[in-house]
Amino acid sequence: MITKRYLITRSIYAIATTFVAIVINFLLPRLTPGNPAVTALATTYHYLPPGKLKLLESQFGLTNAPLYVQFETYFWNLLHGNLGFSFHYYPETVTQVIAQHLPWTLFLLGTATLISSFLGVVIGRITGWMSGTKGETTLSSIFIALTSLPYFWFAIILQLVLAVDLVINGFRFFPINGSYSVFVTPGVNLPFIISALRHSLLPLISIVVTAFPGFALTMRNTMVNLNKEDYITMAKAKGLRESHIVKKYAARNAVLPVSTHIVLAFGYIVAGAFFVEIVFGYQGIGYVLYEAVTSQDFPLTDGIFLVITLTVIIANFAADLLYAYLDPRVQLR
Amino acid sequence: MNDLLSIRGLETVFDTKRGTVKALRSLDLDIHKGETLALVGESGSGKSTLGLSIMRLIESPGRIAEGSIILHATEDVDVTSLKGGKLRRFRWKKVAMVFQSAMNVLNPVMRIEDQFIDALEAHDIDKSEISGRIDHYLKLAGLGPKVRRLYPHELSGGMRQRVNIALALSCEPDLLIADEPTTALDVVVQKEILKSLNTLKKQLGLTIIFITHDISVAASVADRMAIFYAGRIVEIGPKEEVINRPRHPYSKALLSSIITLNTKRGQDLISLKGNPPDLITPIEGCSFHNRCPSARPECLKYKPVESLVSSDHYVECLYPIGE
Ligand SMILES: Nc1ncnc2c1ncn2[C@@H]1O[C@H](COP(=O)(O)OP(=O)(O)OP(=O)(O)O)[C@@H](O)[C@H]1O
Ligand SMILES: [Mg+2]
Repeated sequence: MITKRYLITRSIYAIATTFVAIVINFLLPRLTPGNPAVTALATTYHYLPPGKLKLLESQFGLTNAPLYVQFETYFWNLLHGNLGFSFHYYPETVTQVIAQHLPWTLFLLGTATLISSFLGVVIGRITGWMSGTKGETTLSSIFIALTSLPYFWFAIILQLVLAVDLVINGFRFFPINGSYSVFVTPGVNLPFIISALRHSLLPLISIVVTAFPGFALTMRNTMVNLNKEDYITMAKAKGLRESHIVKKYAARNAVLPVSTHIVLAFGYIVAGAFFVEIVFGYQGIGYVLYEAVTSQDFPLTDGIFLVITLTVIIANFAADLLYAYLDPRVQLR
Repeated sequence: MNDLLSIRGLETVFDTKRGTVKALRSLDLDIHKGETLALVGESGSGKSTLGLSIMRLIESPGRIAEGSIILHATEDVDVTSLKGGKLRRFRWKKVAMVFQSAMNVLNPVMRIEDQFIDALEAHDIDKSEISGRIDHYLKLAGLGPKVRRLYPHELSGGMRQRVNIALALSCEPDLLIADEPTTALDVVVQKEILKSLNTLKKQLGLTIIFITHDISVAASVADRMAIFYAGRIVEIGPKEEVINRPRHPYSKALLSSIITLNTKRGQDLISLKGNPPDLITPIEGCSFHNRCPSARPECLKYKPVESLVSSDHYVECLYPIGE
């Protein structure tokens, strides 16, 4: 049950976590030994151009002012969406770069999470119900194998087999990489949307296929164990139909541990999505992070870490609400 | 005698790694229409197994291996052979049960009223009638309509037990099996629940099988009393008869221990030495001979058969007390 009190405490908790994340993100580059501005310049110059160093330092917000003053400036800038300039994408700002690429990742992550949760619950419900049969044991073994595949490896295989090799009469079914075709103009128009969807298909499949079997297995195992629960016996005693018992008693209760699993797996899905983006050259945050790290683009890596942290915090907040909605027993503890 | 249920030669077994546990050993029992029959016996004697067998809720590793459970309705049906839709309509409508594990039989994610509604709908109760029925039976069990919107975790143990009773009655069954419905509760609540069960019985003409450890509870609710030992009924008869003139040495030991110790659960057999027999190995002779204070050599060799000792009072012993 989502009560007002629950909502308020959870929000306070989320806000507090966010603040801690911001503080850590502020402190980290300042605690690392050496001067990040110097390090940054040293990769491109053999000497330190003094003008550039000053410029960089001010962009990092590195001054000799006391930490709390620096933090105030940093926080103020952050509130205004100002995270400095990206080196790699100069003259674009970090915020601009993130704003351009984040939607792609959010789309990929969101869709992949939704589809794999849905598939996990639905398929797990079926395998849980027919547990013990030959078909089910085979399926569950396949699922166990699938969960142990690394995302990126599976992505590479998919790319090779379905994108590179699958060409019939000169027609390529799946694009090899990128987020959309160069022949379409980004915006709200049909060719672009179709092209974007086509490009997202293989990345999506890579994540979903490696993520959902784990959820399905949890769902199955929980359903099997729930069969021994007294309320299932009671449901049978009441003379309810099997389909009703599976739906309203077994599956409904099995969803609770599955949702915990999904929430715990979210971090892995994020990481997996990043790898998959890199494999497919899909222009999301993961791809940009890769570029930023390889080109030592400190402001951009910093900004991206902040965004990732925020995404996870928001996802956890949403999960808390979902829990409370699904399980009436969830209250403040 | 007008019987509602006739059980003949019932054998319910559990297949375990050690072997097959015979929880009910060729049990015969007639349940009269409108009576309250108390089943008394120590832990593991098979009382719940009997209740679950009647409800056809024995599941793997258990099974009903042998015997019949005849329900005398408009025509006689053998409950052990019911399947599919017939079994569904039999459950809760003909026989309902208040389970021993009362705390966990309610679905934690469903509101109380929804747990009534699905049962009532499954038995084709008219939609317009459902809401009234829920209120009615909750009230009979001593609960207000407020609990309808609550979830199980919001109820106390006593309230949950009342919900279970109301739920079991809501389809107006012919037979109610109440398996230790008051064991988990304190004495005051226990008394209230027993009182409302008694009222209900009078109002509805219900037949009740009341399973309990507690002879004093059995004495207050029962018309007849059956003493269970190692998967069989060793003595059955009118309550006063069995309590005041027990004829089986086991009944006597059981009763005297209760009366002298005024027991709590688990202590009730202090005066009886030894353990009940292992239900895996076949039992030779009388199942009670190893603990019986008045056992004779024949008790080891011959299986006792049921004999009538006074009106409607049967005992299964070669040498019943007082003969
Ligand atoms: N699922 C099971 N698997 C194996 N043996 C079982 C199972 N359920 C019951 N039994 C056995 O059947 C016998 C009867 O058990 P039952 O639960 O009917 O006893 P009871 O008289 O209800 O005891 P209590 O008073 O403790 O509730 C016991 O010996 C028990 O070990
Ligand atoms: Mg029991």
